[in-house]
Amino acid sequence: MSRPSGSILRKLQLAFALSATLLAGLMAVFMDRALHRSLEAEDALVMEGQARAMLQRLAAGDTGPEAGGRPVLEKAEWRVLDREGRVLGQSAFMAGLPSLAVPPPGAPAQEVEAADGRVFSVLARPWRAGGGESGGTLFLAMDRSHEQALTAHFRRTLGLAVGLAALVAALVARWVAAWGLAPLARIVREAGTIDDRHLDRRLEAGQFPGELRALVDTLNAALARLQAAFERTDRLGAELAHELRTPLQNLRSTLENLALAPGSSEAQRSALGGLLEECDRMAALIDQILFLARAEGGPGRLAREPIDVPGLLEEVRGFFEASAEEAGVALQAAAAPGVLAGDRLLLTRALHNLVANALRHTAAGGRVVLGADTAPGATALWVEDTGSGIAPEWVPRLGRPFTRPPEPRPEGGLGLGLAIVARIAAMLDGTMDIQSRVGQGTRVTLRIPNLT
Amino acid sequence: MRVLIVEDQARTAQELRSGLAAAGLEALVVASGEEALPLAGSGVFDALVVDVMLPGLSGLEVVKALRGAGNPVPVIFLSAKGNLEDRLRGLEAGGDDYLAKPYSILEVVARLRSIVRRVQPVQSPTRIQVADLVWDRTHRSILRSGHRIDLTPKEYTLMALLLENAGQVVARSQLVKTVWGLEGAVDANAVDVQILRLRRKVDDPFPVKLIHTLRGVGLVLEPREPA
Repeated sequence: MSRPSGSILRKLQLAFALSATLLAGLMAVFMDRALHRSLEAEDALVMEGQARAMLQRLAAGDTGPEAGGRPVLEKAEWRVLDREGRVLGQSAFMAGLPSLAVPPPGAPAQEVEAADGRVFSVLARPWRAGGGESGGTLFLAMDRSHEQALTAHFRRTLGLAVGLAALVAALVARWVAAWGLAPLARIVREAGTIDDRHLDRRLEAGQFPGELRALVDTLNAALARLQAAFERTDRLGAELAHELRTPLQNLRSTLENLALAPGSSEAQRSALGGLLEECDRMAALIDQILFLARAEGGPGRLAREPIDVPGLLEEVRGFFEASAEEAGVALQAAAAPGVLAGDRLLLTRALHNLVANALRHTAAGGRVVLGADTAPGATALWVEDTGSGIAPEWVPRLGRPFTRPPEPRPEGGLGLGLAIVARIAAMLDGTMDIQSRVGQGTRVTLRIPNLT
Repeated sequence: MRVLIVEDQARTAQELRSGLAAAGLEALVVASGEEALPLAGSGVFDALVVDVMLPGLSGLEVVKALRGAGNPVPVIFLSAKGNLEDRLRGLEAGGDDYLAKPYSILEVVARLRSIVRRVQPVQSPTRIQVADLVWDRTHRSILRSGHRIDLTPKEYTLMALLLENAGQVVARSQLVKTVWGLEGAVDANAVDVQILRLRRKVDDPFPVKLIHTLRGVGLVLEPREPA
């Protein structure tokens, strides 16, 4: 067996969330880059414009502290160096910046962080004036801190969006899973209604999505094989019945004719009678085995007739009344008025088995009680005795064919009685429950659900 | 009474025939439905005993054909299948009764008598006497040597069955069906105890014993002097 796999829903949620995060994340990185680049390009353009204007002024010989005049942009800061690197003039802010290295001509703007943490873009351009007698380097700086704030805000928003996308994906996954798995739940529901009495039922492949048809077809094929196997058992049972009962019939008829023939002695008749009793015991055994093998007495035409509960108990009590009295056991039937939907023959058979068992195990002076509780959902029929009880280790095993505690048994018990009772309970969709205490008694309860 | 037995198992048929003969019923055996149909239609037979599973034409088909031709002759089905469903199928095909194998021949006899009586009712006497026992049906009273014997309803039903068949053995299965309305295996002890109690009331106080058990077979009511 492979190890159990986790929940499909969890897996789907994880997959959805991961892919949503990955997608949104990639998009965020891409957008962040694009924004950064476009801002940079725009700044570069602006600074080149400023530089051009400044260079023109410097070329015109304006190198004094006011060289370049007012900055083209409010935020522009500038510094003019001569060839020896002396500062010829600068804006107030530039005075606070350290000396800047002179980059190779035409290099792009570089980032410089000021002491106060602000970030500047710094562009350097060589200038010349007076036909080349004077010249030096022009530095222009542009405050980029608010751009940085903008990109930081943008990144936060993107991060939030990525998180949100993951969450939404997980929720969508939940819905998709529920929606996608709904047909499976339907298969489970429908397959759950198929039991040994409804083996001819099939799941209708057409009403399920294509992906699940293979599953439905496999289930249906398994059901068909199961049904065929059950039918084989039934046929085998019927054939077995015929094969066993025909010779048993011949044996019985021969013995019966001999026992009734005039002129046979008392001893002969008694011996023949003993053999006839064995025949009947064997016939009963065949009946019971076929019943348990589902070959006979099966629910082909199971009656679900309304049965008067106190009447049923009283009938059973009546059958055993005389034998209980002879055994010195008090046999009582007590039930509130109520009606049960069941099969009279089967229930009678079950109660007969239970009372016969109870009487067998209850000594003189004891009591056997037939009772019933009629509840809205189910009717409980029980037989309780004050008999010898059953050892606890045997209780769960009772109800299986040929299972009998190893005590010396009084005449009559074949070990099939309780198995038949359990089968009858199951045939009526009910249960059998045994409670027992050694030396105190046993109570066997049949719970038969009411038809709605 | 003339009975036609339709049964393909030769031994089963022969034993049944001799059992019926011992009970005073004349019987003819045929082994197939094809042979049975013309004979059954001849009107010679008072009743048919038909095995359900026959080679060729099945027992059910034979009886359906008879009923289709308007023949009302009483029919008892015999079958190796004891299913309720098979039983119902037999009755639906037009059978009057159905016995699962292994049956008791006495039971077949009793049922044959019963279904023929249904067709040809016989006025049964209201007063029956066996030795010193007098049974008055109309008053539901049983007296022995002039003493009234009090019986429970079940004991009375059992006693009435034995009295109606006085001198003939009543099969245990028939007894269970009459007294308790049950068929198939029942707790043997409960039946034995019922018989024991009846015998205590009817026989114990009197020298002549009337109720006798034939082990494995059934009961018979006839006067026997104590050995």
